[in-house]
Formats: sequence, C-alpha cells, structure tokens
Amino acid sequence: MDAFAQQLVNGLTLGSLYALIAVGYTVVYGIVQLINFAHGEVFMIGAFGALSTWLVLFKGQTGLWVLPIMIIGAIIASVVTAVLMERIAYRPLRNAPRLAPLITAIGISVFLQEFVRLFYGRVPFLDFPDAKQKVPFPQIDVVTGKAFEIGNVTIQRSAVFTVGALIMCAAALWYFVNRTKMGRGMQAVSQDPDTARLMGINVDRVIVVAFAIGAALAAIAGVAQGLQVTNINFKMGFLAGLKAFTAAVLGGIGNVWGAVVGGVTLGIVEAMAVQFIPGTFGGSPWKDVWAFALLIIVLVFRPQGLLGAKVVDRA
Amino acid sequence: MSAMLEVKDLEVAYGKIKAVKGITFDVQEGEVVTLIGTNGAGKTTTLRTISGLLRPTKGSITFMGKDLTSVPAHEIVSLGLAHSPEGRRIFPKLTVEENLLLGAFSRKDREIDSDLQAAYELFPILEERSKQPAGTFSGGEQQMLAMGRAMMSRPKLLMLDEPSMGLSPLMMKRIMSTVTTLQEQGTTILLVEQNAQAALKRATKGYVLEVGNIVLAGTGQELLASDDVRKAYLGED
Repeated sequence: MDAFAQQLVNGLTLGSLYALIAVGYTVVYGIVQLINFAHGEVFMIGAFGALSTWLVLFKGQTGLWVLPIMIIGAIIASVVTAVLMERIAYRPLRNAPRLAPLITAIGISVFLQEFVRLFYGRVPFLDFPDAKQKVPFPQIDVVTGKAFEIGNVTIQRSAVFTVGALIMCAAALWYFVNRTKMGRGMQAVSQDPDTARLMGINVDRVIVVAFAIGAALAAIAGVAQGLQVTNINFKMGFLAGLKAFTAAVLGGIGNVWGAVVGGVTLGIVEAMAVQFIPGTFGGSPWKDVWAFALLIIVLVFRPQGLLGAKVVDRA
Repeated sequence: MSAMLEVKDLEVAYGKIKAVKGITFDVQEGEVVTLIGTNGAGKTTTLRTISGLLRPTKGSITFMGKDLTSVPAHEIVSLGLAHSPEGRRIFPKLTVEENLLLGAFSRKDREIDSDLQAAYELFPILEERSKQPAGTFSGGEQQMLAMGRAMMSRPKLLMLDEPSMGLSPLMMKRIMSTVTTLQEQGTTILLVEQNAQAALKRATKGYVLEVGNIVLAGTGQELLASDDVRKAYLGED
C-alpha cells in the first residue's frame, strides 16, 4: 500500500510536469493544426530564463521571494522565444503543405538546443556558466530542501510546487478560455477560422496568444523541473517534449483538458509501471517503453484520445 | 446619392480559374438586393470577396465610401458590414449565447446586452436554448442563430448567403419573413439565394449571375416577370 501511495505521488508529480508542457502542444494544434515540435525547447529556455534571472539579480539568494521573479523571468524568456518562432518561422508557412512547418519545427528545435549549448556561457558582460554540461539550478527555501514524510510516503517540496502550479494554471486557463472575450474568440478560431474572421476576430493575434499561453505554462514547468532535478541542461526539452506531446495525444490533441488528463495519466502509468511490473520488464529503464505502449493502446482503441471528441461535422 | 455598396468590374479567381468575371452592381441604403443564379455562378465567391475572405484579381469594392479590397477581413465587420455565410457556419461547440456574443466581438459599447435581447425577441427559440451547444440545433434553428449572430454587430448592410438552403418550406417562410422584418427595421440587405421566387418577391433590385457574369438585372418585379428568369430559375416552361 505504501508503495502504491508513493508511486501515486511520484506519478502525479511527473504527470503535472507533462501536463503543463502538453497544454502548449494542444492549444497551438487546436488553433493552427500544427505540431510545434520545438515546444520542448520553449520549456528548456524557460528553465534557463529562470536561472539567468537568478544569476543576474539574486545570485547567492535562496529566499522564497526570489521565486516569483524567477518565474516571471522564465515566462518572459519562453514567451519571447515562442512568439518570435511563430512570427519568423511558422507564419510565412501558414498556407504551405503541412510537412513544411513540421520540418521547420524540427529545425527550430535543433537550432534552439545548439544556441543554448554554444552561447549560454558566452553572453557578453554576464558571467553565465557554460551550458555544454548540466548546469546547477538554484535551490530555493520552502520549495526545495527536506522532504515531507507522511507515514512512509515521501513528498518532495518541489513536487508540491509542481502539482500546485498545474492546479493554478489549469484554473487560470479555464477562466481565460470560458470567461473572457479573447478566450471565446480563441474557441471560435479553433472551430472555424474563416467564420471567426467574419466576426471581427484577428486570427493572427489569436495564434500569437495561443503560442504565448503554451510558452508561459512550459516556462513554469521549466522552473518546476529545475527545482526537482536540481540541474538543467540544453537537452532537457527533448524527452520532456516528446512525453508531453504523447500526453497531449493521449488526452485528445486540441482539447486543453485532454492535455491535463493525458499528462497526469501518463505520469501515473509510468510511475506504476516502474513499481509494479515484475521481472525483466519492470523497473525504471522500462518506464518509457510502458509510456509509449500506453499511447499505442489508446490510439488503437480510441484514436481521438481520452477526451477528444470525434470531429463534429460542420452543418 | 452614392451607393452604400458599390462593386465595380469585380474579378475573382481560384488559381487560374476565374469564378467571377467582372461584375458590377450596387446596393443603395434601405434596399434588399438579391443575387440569384445556379450553383457555381459565383454568388458565394462574390460575398466572400466583399467580406475580405477572398481577394479580387481586378476591380473595386467600395462600402460607404471606403475601398474594402485592402482592408483585412476581421476589420470589415466593424465598418458596418456583416456576413452570414453559406451553410450557416455557427460555432457548433459553443452555446447559442456564446455564438451571439461572438457576433458582437468587434464592439466595445455597453449596448451588447440589449442587442442580445433584441436577437432573442427576433427568434424566441434562441432564448429558450441559450445555454445549449449550437451544434445540437436543426438547420432552421442554426440559420436563425447565424442571422441573429450577424445582427449582433449592428450592421448597416447585412449579407445573407443562401439562408433558406436545405430548410423545410415552413422554416424557409419563417426565415424569408425575417428578412422582411430586418429590412423594415432599417437594415440594408444583400441576399444571395437559389430560391429565386422567394428572393425576388422581397427584392427591390435583383441580378442574375451565370458562370461569373451578370446576365440580367432589374427590379424584383421585373425579374419575376421575365421569361428568361421564369424558365431558368422558377422551373416554368
């Protein structure tokens, strides 16, 4: 029982991280039917943005009060990256065959990884560490440090931060999508872009907002990852991005709540597989296998994903 | 008096195929003008070009003295030109009320709520079902919603693309009588229809389109009486 509860906690933590990133894939896909494979790098840049903010403004500080400012730094770095990416690389390809933006996305992904790897340590006038290897991420009072023990279950402080961040982001996102004019406009664009334009909705602006929202959540995930793992590196976006994409598909790509449910489900399945699958196929080396096996099973039996609706025919 | 909408030598092409081949027509304030013609005549293409969803290869579109051919589609509705598209195109997953509010997306004034009430008065069924997803509606109800949504922008000119398409005769009557109501309330209307009889009866002016050209023009009554129109569109010998 303890093992189960422990893996539930681990899975929830991991899943919250996936969910925060997955929202970015799904929001963008819902609006422009583009899989932004460079979204994992937006997450990575968020982590580096937080680190840079800390290095420039608070080096040596560990007080909790620096955390909100680090998060803002992370969000700025990610949002600027995502918006530039959309403007420079994707917008000119809006009407191109679908393969073109997909390949572009892979190109951007490699570009951003290499950019951080090669230039992070060489930013003029700033004494940033070299990013060719892992870079230690600042540990902050209250959200890192001694874990909580409940019975025999260990709950890391960073895990509480991650799950809390997901809950807050999901609530804010729900409010934005359902209760604001821009959110309603966004739903309209995802259902019928041409008719949305007839309503006076600027589709280009909605697309930028979609990229920005996804980037902001990915940035928060980047901070969460840094706090959990205690270091960050230029490659961290690759597997996290791939898992989050899996989570988005699992939940039903295009559906925001699907991304949240898919992320949490994937995280829990991974954690449980590590603990409970016995013998040769169990243990942590196999966790990715089980995660993707789950994806394949869902796609075979429920191709639209857990929460995805079958496409409604336009009357 | 200059026309509210003036379309001059309009040419629209999809790639190399010309769908509209240089048409000229105008709509004066207070009129109901109808474009009739068979499938592929270029009616919908014309409306979509006026709305900015398509760009002309030649010609001009002037609405209340302003050239529309370089205005982005999303800015046109706030000039006072609303377009209720072919096939209704309501947002199926949004509720009726959300659909109507999207019609007022470009407005910032405080009278949106009272216009919402006006739309519900025009179509009481919409109020009864205001919280239902619009995708669950029948064709006729969706058409009412599409018209209500277009009216939410307080248009000076309302363009209706085939509002009676696929509707039962009863519902068709209901929709067409709403066109008259809207006209009486002071909205100028540009109506595209395949149901020539119903459209011409209400029209102050009509144009007959055939494969991208205007082949006949006149008042609604003149066209209704014309032998060519009777043969081609009203199914009479």
